[in-house]
Amino acid sequence: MILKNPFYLGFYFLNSKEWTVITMFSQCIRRRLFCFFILISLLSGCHSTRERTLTVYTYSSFPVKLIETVKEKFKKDYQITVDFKSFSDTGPLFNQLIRERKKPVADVVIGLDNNYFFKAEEAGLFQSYQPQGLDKVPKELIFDSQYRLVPFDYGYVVFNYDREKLKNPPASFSDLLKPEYQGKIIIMNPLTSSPGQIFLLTTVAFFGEDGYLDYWRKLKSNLLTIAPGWEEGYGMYTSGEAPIVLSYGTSPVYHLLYDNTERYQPLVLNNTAYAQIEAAGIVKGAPHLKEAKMLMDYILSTEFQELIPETQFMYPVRSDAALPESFRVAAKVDRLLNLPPEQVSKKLDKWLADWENVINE
Amino acid sequence: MMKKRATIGFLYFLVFLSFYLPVLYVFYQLVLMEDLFLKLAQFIRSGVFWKTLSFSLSQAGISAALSILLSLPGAYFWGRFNFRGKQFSRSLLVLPFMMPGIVIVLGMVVFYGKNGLFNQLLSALFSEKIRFTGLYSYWGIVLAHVIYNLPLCLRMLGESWERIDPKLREASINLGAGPFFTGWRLTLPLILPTIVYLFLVVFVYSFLSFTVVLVFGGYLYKTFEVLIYIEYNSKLRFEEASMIAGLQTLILLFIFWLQSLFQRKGYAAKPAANLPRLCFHKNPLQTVGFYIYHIIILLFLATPFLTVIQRSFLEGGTFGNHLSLENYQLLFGEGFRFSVGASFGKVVLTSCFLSTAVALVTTIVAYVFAKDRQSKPWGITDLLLQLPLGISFMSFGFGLGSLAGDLLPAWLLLMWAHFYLAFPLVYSIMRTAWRDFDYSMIESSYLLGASPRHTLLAIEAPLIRKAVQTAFIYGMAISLSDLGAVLLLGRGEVITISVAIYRLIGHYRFAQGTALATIFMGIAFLAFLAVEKDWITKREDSH
Repeated sequence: MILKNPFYLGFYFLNSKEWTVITMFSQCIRRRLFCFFILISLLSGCHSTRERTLTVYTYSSFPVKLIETVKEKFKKDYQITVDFKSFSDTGPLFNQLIRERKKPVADVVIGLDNNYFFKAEEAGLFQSYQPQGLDKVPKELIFDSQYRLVPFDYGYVVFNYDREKLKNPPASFSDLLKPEYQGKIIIMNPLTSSPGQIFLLTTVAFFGEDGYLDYWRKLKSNLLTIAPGWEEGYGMYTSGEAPIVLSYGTSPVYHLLYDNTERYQPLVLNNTAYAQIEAAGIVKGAPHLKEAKMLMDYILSTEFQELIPETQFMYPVRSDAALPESFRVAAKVDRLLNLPPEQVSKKLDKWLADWENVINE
Repeated sequence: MMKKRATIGFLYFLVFLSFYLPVLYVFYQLVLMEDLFLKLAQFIRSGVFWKTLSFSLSQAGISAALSILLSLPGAYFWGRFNFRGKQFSRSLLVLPFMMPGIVIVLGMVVFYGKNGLFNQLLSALFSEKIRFTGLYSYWGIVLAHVIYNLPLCLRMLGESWERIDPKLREASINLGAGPFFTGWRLTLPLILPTIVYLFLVVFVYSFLSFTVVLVFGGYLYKTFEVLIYIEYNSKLRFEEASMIAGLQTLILLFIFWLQSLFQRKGYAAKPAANLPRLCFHKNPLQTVGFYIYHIIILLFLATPFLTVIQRSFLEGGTFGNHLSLENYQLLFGEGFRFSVGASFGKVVLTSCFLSTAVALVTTIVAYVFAKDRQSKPWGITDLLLQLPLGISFMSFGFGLGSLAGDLLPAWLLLMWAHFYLAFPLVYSIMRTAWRDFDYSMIESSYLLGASPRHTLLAIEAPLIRKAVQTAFIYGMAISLSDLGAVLLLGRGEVITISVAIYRLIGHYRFAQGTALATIFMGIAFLAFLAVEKDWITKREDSH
């Protein structure tokens, strides 16, 4: 009976028959563990450190094309090896930075957006640096006045619609509540996806802290689903399950370039949108400061900036960087809705919690 | 003998270490938390906890019960008869199990969705008014879980049924028992441990479900896994995440313990005798039933996957466009590498290597353990070997990343994580097979003077072959299907097919995603066929 009962863990391992085994393998353990670790350290032997290397942290969907351009450029022009480490998402990336705070491994981080700024500042993760070319970046995009996180691209999170399935697209946030759109809208969960979170901020910015929850109460019944991630939501949209989806202002550019169709259109409600601003920064205590500064300069150079539109599908921050022809189908926005980062970082948890309550009502 | 015991003991030690060191690391941090009990009490008192618990328990229970009930008739056909293409279909049944969540979701949307094929079929057959709208509801979630798990149940139950010695049934009939009495008193008790175990497996998989629950549950339903993800990934509250993970493990531990009560000593199964071939002249009723059952299963469960395959051959992946191989050609282009991060060949090779290595290691270890514990009743060791099934992978992955993330190369971390993911299922397949194994045959073989090698090849191998193949294949399938571990621990260096599918969709290359999913199914299917081929014994004439 004892054997069947999981709570008698101790007794089981101490029964007499097993004792001999334990003494036998205690001798084996030392020898074998030793061999095991030797093997492991041999396998990871490729961890050798070279003189001029630069370690960059980014998230996994950061374009390969940009990574390779940086690697080649730095290898060829400066003989610097740039080592990119990618994380599944910005959350785990941020956690890693916190864990390594005392002994930083990364030199540069690419891809934390404006909403992480305050958390990063609180934790004192980055050091101030003004890369060359910063004067060409519009003031409204620079969210850190001390230049610890420097923006390098931005994009709008807006709705998209399928022109062939929807003849009368909504023009305003209140239009979206009309019964004709019931079950035709897919959004993403603010708790699990970054476009979802930015849409929540959009409603806070547009309706104010007092009004956004009322808006959600009404919007709720028109939603087909709240997808966990952008991939699921957008995949359902292109499968024809719903004609309106939350996505990016540049999504139509993809369809123009790859599918040669203008069927999918951006939908900018009230001519306003919230911008996601992506930034890069030098880690405080970075092992290779000089090289890190060179990389920051390169990121803001026109050469790199002009690669951004058709690889990252975001707008370059430099106002003098040329945009490709395909960007004519991207969303046009008259007014930015962005909330001050300080307010976002202080209130976001509360907004998310309130949102959850309203959705679950 | 003692030396051998010590080696096996050492192996147990290593396996337990590899499972529980990362997990203990995470829970140890939890103990350090100052107001743990206060927070725990707060969480348990909150409505979120009870809502999540009741939803998780009920949907998982219903999904498990339905998967098993619906697979029972099929298991009867699979366990009692031979039919053409059985081997082939056996491999086919594993495919849903290895599909990444997003493929299942999109397949289901295309078939069961608002504008899906099923609704088009309904309106063509009946009227516009009859529509299926249940996808985005509680039952949509259950449906997805059944689609995912039913093939597993069908295969395992069928194999368990096959192992029943036909002589027992004949004896029962000869003694005057009717077929129903025989089924109730003979067959059911013999397959009950498998049923209970499968119930547990489906229950746990559904309990831990993530993507499906969020997509089809809309905003109303959540599992603990969703809560953990939100705490860890978006709220960045690591301690709360571990706390919920710990609580979840306790709940599942209780369910595992309940299950262990049903495990009993097996009976001596005879090698699967030649099953009668299903033919209309001898068994008209069964033949008709067989076809009806499989047509229904195919229509409702396989169509979502078939639509994915169909889309991969359409230009741009859009219905209504003409056929084209463009999506496949594009997989070999530069665009693939730019959106995925590695070339097509490298991705495929990585997946093949990783899954084969994982399946090999897992099957060998499971084989050794199951053989070692053959005569022992289901005990605490078995429970501990099963428990990883019920521990949130997020916690394990995080623990492993913190412990060894900087020391080991990414591919080794991934093998470790996949071993953890695959072992419980693989072990239980081996354990059940060894439990039903008639050990006296091996003893007789030795007594008659056969060498260990000869005994292994002539007695052990043919008897245990099927279970080893099944175990190997599910080990492979679990490794192939994994997305979380590769994203969490692969550091972007290791890219598998599942991740590539996700990334293609993430880069708006949806049509190519379906093409890759199709190739994925193709490769896996061929691999499964190769593994399941009868390599050892000579093929018996079948007619």
